[in-house]
Amino acid sequence: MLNLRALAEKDLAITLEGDWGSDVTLIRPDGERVSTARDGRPLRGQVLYNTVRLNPETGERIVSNCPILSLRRSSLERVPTWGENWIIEMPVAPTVGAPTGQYSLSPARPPEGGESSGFVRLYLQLVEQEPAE
Amino acid sequence: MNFRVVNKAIIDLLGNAAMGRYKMVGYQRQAKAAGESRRMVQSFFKEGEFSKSSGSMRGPNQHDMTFGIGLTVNAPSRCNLAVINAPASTAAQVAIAMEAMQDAAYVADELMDELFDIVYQVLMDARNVDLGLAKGIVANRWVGSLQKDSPLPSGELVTLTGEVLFTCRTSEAVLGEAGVAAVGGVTVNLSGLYTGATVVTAFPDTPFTWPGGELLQFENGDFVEPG
Repeated sequence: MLNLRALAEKDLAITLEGDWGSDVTLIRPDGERVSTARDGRPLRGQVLYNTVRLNPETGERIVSNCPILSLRRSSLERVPTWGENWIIEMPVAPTVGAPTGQYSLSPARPPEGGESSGFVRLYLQLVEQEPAE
Repeated sequence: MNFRVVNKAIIDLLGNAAMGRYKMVGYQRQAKAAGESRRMVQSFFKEGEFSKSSGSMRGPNQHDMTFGIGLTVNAPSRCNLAVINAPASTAAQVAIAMEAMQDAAYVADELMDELFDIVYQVLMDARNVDLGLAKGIVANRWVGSLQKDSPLPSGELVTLTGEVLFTCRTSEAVLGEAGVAAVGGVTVNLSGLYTGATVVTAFPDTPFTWPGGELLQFENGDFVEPG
C-alpha cells in the first residue's frame, strides 16, 4: 500500500497531466527537444495563465497574464533549474486551437517545488523573435 | 488657463510624432500593467509656479509650468526563434540561439532608451519651439530631466517606467469665475396632487418651490407628499 506522499505523487498524473493539462514541449539548454514524459506519454503540465495581483503604485487589483507551468518531476529526465536557458512551448491560452507560444524561465522568480511535493512550478516569460539587424 | 492648452499641445505634438512607435495617452498616470501596447507615453500637468510681482494681484501672471511626461515600456525576452523553430536546426544551433537570448529587462531598458531619445528629440526640435501653438503662448520650453525607474516583472513581460520633466512658461490671464449652476441634476417624479409632473434639482433633497408657492420636500431623492 502506498503511503500518503507516494499516493499524492501518483495523483499528479491526473491533477497535472490529466484533462486539465496542456501539451508542453521543453527545449533543454543543450538544444534537445523534450515532448514526451519518461514513460513515453506526451509531456503534459498544468498552466495557470492569469493571476490577480496588486498594483504597487495604486493599490488596485489587476489581472496579469502570468503563465505558471506546473510539471510532474517524475515525468522529467531533467528538471529545469534557475539561471539555465530553457524554452517552453505551450498554448498561449487554455482554449482549443490556441496558437503555441514560446516562453523562457523568468529571471525574477525561481522555480518552486521540490522532491517532497513531486512537482515543479515554473514562472515564465514570453519570448519573441528578435528584430532583424 | 493656458497650462491646459499647453498640455493639450504637448499631447498633440507627441501624438502626431508617434508614427506607430509608441501610444500616446492623454492624462494623469494610470495603472501600469503589461498590455498589448509595448510603449506608452502620457503627459500630465505636474506643477506650476507663479512668481509674485507688483502686477500679480490682477494678472496676467507669469506661469512657470512643469509637465511630467510618463513613459512606460513592456518587453518580452528576445531570441532568434527562427533557428529554434526550423526543423533542420541541430541541437547545437538551437543551444547557441538560446544562449544568445536577451532577457526582458535588458530589452525593456533598450526600448526605454530609444523612447527617451524620440521624446527628447520631438520636444526639443527647433521646429516645435512653440509646441504647435500660435507664437507668444508658450516660451522657454526645456527638457529638465530624464528619469528611469527599476524594471518590474509584470506577468509574462517586464515593465519599465520613466519620466521626462518638461518645463515651459506661459502667461495666465485672470478672467474671473462667478459660479454657474450645475448642468443636469436629479429628476424626481412627483405624486399625489402633482402626479405627472417632474422636478429637476441639483441635489436630491433640495426643497423646491412650486409655482403656486408650496414648498415641496424630498427625502433620499423621493418626493414626500405634503401632510
